Parts: sequence; C-alpha cells; structure tokens
Amino acid sequence: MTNTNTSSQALSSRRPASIISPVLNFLGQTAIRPPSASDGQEGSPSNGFGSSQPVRVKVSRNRPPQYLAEVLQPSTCTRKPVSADRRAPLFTTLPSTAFADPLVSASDSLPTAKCTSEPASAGNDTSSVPKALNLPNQWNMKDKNQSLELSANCQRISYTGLGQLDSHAAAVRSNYPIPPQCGLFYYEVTVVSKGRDGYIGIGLCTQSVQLNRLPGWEDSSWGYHGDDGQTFCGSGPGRAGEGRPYGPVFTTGDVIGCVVNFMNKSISFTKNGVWLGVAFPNAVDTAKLDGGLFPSVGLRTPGEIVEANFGQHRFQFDIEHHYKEEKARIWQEINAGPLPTISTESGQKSGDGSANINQLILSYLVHHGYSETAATFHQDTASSISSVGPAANAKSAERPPFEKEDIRKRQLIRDHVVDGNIDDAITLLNRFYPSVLQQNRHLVFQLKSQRFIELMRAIVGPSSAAADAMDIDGEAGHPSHENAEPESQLRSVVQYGQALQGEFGAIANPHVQNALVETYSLLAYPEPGNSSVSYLLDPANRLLVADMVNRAILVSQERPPMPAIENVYRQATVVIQELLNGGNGAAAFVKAQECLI
Amino acid sequence: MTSSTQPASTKKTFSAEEWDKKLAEVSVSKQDLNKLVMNYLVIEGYKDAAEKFSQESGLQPGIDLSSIQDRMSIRNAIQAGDIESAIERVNDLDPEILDTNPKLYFHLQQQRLIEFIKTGKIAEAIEFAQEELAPRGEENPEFLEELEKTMALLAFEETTASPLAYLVDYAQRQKTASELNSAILTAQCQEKDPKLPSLLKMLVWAQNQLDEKALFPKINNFVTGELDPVPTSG
Repeated sequence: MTNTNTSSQALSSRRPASIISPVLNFLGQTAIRPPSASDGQEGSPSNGFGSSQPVRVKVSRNRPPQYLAEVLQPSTCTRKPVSADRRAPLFTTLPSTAFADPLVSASDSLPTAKCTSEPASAGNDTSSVPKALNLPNQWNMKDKNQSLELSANCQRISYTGLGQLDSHAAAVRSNYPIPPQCGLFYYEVTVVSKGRDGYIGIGLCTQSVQLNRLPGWEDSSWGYHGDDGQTFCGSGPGRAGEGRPYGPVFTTGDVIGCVVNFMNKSISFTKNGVWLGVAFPNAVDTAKLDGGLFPSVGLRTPGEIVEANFGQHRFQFDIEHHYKEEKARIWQEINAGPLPTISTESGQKSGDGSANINQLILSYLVHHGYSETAATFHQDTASSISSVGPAANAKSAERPPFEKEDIRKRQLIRDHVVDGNIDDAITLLNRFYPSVLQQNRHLVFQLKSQRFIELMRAIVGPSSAAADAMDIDGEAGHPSHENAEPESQLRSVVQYGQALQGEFGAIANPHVQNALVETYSLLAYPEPGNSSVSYLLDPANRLLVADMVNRAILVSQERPPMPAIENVYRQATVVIQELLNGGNGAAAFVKAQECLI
Repeated sequence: MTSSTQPASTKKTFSAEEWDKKLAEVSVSKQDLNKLVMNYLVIEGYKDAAEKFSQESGLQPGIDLSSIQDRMSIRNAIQAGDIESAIERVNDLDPEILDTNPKLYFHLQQQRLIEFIKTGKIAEAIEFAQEELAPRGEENPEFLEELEKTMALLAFEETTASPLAYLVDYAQRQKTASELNSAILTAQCQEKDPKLPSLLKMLVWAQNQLDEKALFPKINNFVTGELDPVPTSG
C-alpha cells in the first residue's frame, strides 16, 4: 500500500502542533484579521499569471477512471469504428447523386450504408466530431501560489509560506478544468501532514479566483476545511458570510474526496471512503462557470502537505457505485414520464401510448418486409386494441395498416438479393415495381455490380473466407454455374464486366469509376477470397444491397425511406450528443445505445 | 453584476441540412433494431409474432418462447376482465409471486372489485370489498384510499361520466395486467421492461432539455418519426 510511504513522510515533516485547539485558533485568527485588499475584486485577473488559459503541461495521460471511460470516447457517441475486413464495397456507399440522372432524387441518401464506410471518411468532418475531453489529472505548477511547492509529478503540495496571517493562505488549481460533459467528477486528496494547524481547504474554484485564499473564501469558490469540518463558499475571513457546519474535521492520514455532480449541480465530499452528503446544492451552474471549474486545494500553515489522486490510484470512495446510483436515478426519472401520445386526426388520444408503440413496431416490420411477423403482430395487437373503444377502430379505418401483398413482393425480391440471385431480383423488380429501376439508375448499377461479384463468387467457390458467413441465410451461394467449365465461366464473367463497363463507364463521376475499378480488380487475383478486395465477397453486402432495393421501392411509393424506430434512435443519439456538446451534465448519464440490447 | 451569461433568446440554431448530416452519421445497424423489436415482442408477450420474427429475421429470441405462453394467458385473462382465473394461473405458475407482492395482490383484487361494479353486481361488489379488501386497507393506508375511491364508483349512476371513469376504463385493466406481467418476469429473473418505451421517453426528455438551449428539427410524431421543421428564432 502507498500508505506506509506517505505516513513515514508525514511523520518526518510534522511540526510541533499548537497547544490551542485548531478550531479556536482558527476562529481567533478570523476575528482579528484585517479586511483583505483583494475583497470584492474577484473578477480581475490575479497575480503573476496573466494568461487565463490553463497551462497545458505535457504529461503522459493516465487512464481515466472506469466510470468516465465511455464519456471520454467520443466515438462511442457517434460511430463505431469499422474494422477493415468489414468494409463495404464502394458501390454500396455511393451517394445516389453520383449519377447525373435528373430523375434520381437527392433525398434518397444512404445513411445506413454510409455508416459501414471506412472510418477515414468520418474524419473529414471535424465540426460534428466532439473534441477529446481533457480531465484534470495533476496540479498546475504555473497556476499556484508562490508559497506552495509541488512535487515532480505535480500531485503533492507542500506549504512553504509564513503561515502567520490569513493572507498567507496559498492555493493551487488543477491543470485542466472539469469538463461538464463527464457528468460526474471525483478526485481525492490525502492529508500527508496537517502541519502546524491543519488549515487545509479542499474543493473547487473558477479560473478567476485569487490563489492567496483558501477554497471557499471567495465567490465561485467552494471548500471543505479540515480544522473545523465546515464548508465555505464566498464566506470566510474578510467577508460577510461564515462557514457552515458540514462534516467531521480531518487531519493527517485522512483521505478527503470531492464529488462534482453536473446533473443536479451539487458538490459533495467524502472522508476516508464515506460520503458526507451534499455540501452545496445547485452550486455548479455551467452557464456561469467562466473558464471552467477547477479542483483546488489551499494550505495555510507551515508543514502542511497534501497529495492528490485524480484517478491514477484506486479511490477510497466507491465512485463507480455512486455513478451507477446517479445513472439509475436519472433513468428512473426518464422512465417515470408518460409515453408520448399522438393525437390522431379525429383528435382522440390513445390510452397510454402503448398503442403508439405497437404502431411503431408494426411499421418497422412492414418496412423491412417481415410479412409473417407483421401479419401475426397486427392480428395480436388488433384484438387487444379493438376493445379500447371507438377511437381505435376509427384509427384503423383511416388507413390500412399494411398491404400484405406489397410486403410479400418486397420480401421475395429481398430474399433473391440475399441469396445472391440478382437476376431473379431484377426480373421481379421490373415485374412488380417497373418504375423503380427506371428512376434509380444507381440501383441498377448496384445490383449489376453485385451480380458481377456473385459471378466471381461462383468461380472462386465456397473456399473463400466468406463462405462460412453465407450460411446466415440457410443456403449456400448461387449454384447456377456448377457444371460449367471454369474457362467458359471466366469468359462469361469478363463479358458481363464489359457490359457493365459499357453501361456505366461513361459516367464521369469518380465514385462510380472507383467502384467499377474496385469491382473489376476481383478478376486480377488468382484467389480473390484472400485478396485486398475480398470484402467485396462478404455476403453481408447482399444485405446492404437488399436494404437499398427495399428503400427505393418504399420511396417510389412515397413512403419514408427509414422506419420510424430508426428515426427515433438516430434523433435520440444526436440530441444527447448535442446536449453533451452544450455541457449538459445529465446527458452524460444517458445514452441511446443503452436502449439497444 | 458583471454576469456574462447571454439572454435565453440567443439559442443555437441547427439547420435541417446540418441536422440531417448528424443523423446520417449515427451508427446503428438493422441487427440492433431487430433486437430492439424482438426484445419488445418477447417481454410484452407476443409469442407468435416473436416466433415468426425469429424465422424471418434469423434472430434468436434469447429465451424459451414457451414461457411467454403462461404470461400471455394470464395477461389475456386480465384484459378480458377475468381476474379470478388470472390469479389462479399465477398461483399455479409460482405462488411466491403474489405472496411477496401485497401491493400487486391488492391491485388485482381491486380490479376484481371494479369488474363486479362494471357488470352491475352490486351485492357481490360490496361483499367482496368487505371480506377481501377492507382487511388489507386497514393494514395499509394507501390501499384504504384506493379502496375508498373504487367504492365511490357505486355512488355514480353513470360511472363512465364520473371523475373516477379511469377506473372502469380498459386502460386500467391494461395497467393491472402490465403490473402482473412485470412481476412474473421479475420472478423469472428476466428483464421486465422492454427497451423501446425507454428509448421514446428518453427522446422526449432529451428534446425537452435541448429545447432550452437550441432550435433544431424535432420529432413530435412518435408514430411516423418525422422531423418537424426547425422553428425560426424570434
């Protein structure tokens, strides 16, 4: 344990203690102390360090505490990194606008396909990617009072001043302010030695607070003091207010922690791993924290030494548990709210919103063409909802919930694409929805590129790495060329490729050209399954193409290209992200991802 | 004071294009959403639909679907107003469930009382209330209050037009059924709340929070999931 180390040092640096009890001594000093010259001008920049920017000390970043890990990974909020072997072929990520076809609607972008594109493309847009958060992880040697001495690792502070008057107090701030986005911040301070009188203040302050004062003696400064166990905020020597009784006193060997809760804006403290309750409710108003909120510690008498732990070591207090409790609390608050209800055309509201959820589910099933599930679910919910009364009946009469025939057709086409029978899919598309391929040239390109890949797959055979994954659909690949000679097979593939080139080669768009080159390059490898373009053979791409076809059909019917559930999920993710970007601490406890299983 | 905070009118505004771009960047797979749907079907007890969904999507339901059957028959009994048989079936399934949930048991009995009143069986209602519910009300003031409210239904000739109409509403049956459904799931060590309603509630909460700081395209229609246009600042 580190305790043996600190206690021996504590003993060696301990000075003779005052005979008077610390409390009395402190109060006495307060009474006779003349008003400080700095009172009432906390807004002005303080001595020595004119720059209001915290000095960025280059240190190797320690790993943040576990409970902050997810907050500090901006990628988890936006997109999961996609490993190279799960790359989608370029053509499935093509924007439809790549085709200079006036009939192609620009609104038919492909967000789901885009998400599987290379992570490199994500980096282009820096505006929406949140900046990495810096957490306070040490004291700032350039942002401290001269009467303090810092250890080499900037964790330990020793008082070297005179320690006679309150004006001899000396404080230090951390290297970075606390990002409100973390939701909950915690740090601990071990009192290595209480020195002469143990006038030690632990807490927080903003950038503008002067550092010849203990935490809590100024406005925008909050502190818990060891000699009397009181808390201070804008109170103390030379000011109107006084300390408020809060917790026990603390002295050599004690570990004091400070919890900043950006959700309920409170500050609380812990002593030796025990939570002491909220010290300052509604203290942390992010809108008023000009320049941010910094961990801060102040010392006042000779021999006082404290050492901070910003998460480098195990905390005495179980902050993870505290975090979970706070998180459970906000989810409870969210879940206690009513389900959103939508008023129908007739102005009638559904009973408790659960009918809306059933509609959401049904429209999702219809959207993706799960025809049997949709029919079953519709039947089940209709029987339970119908007894609600006339409102439900009126609603179902407004518009048929789904046309089973249409779902079935889309499902058939989808099944063909997923099974790799692209030709059959195209035939059915032209029979059932003749306008779709006429109006979506990019879809023709996508289907035909996929057809080329399927032809290649037939030659490569099931030995390719992708073969295992093909069993997802219960069937192996397309067996139509099984008996053909390899050479004639290859010839037909080349011919098909040439036809593809003839049809789309004239399109000047570089995306299209790249996609064509990428697809052709399958021919260049003796073993395409082990080549750099092997991802083209990944059967998962069939699912992407199948989704695109489905979406195009729906759009041609003037239906939404995305199921409502997906809209809701995306919206929730973005709104939470924007709340976080705006410094909303509560949003740090909530993630749309947590609603996924 | 030298407060530097801006007045609330200067809200950040997101254009529709900007917002669409952010939405498009969200990573979510069909598989994720399929799981969300399966989770709802399983927990809410749509056994046949869950079975079909498993076949059509290739997704495993994660639990033995036959266990849904018991829950569903119990739920259906309550939704049909047959509380007595629901209680019987729960006790067949696991007598601990009602033994350890006095509040749930009270609500079931209360629902039974409501069904008596709804069907005009006044004499039975009063006898049932005196014998079964009143002793429980004495144990717990919360129960007593609910019992009194329910009995007050008798004072109205037209209960559906009374301030207590919600008690005789179908939604009250659903509420009772859901409470029992949750208790059974808890007893079976399964998650008791589907995730989809949480997602919706979370969106409501989050949009309300962001409303205070920004103007952005909102989803107000939770059935279509359509974005409303950005309100103009002013």
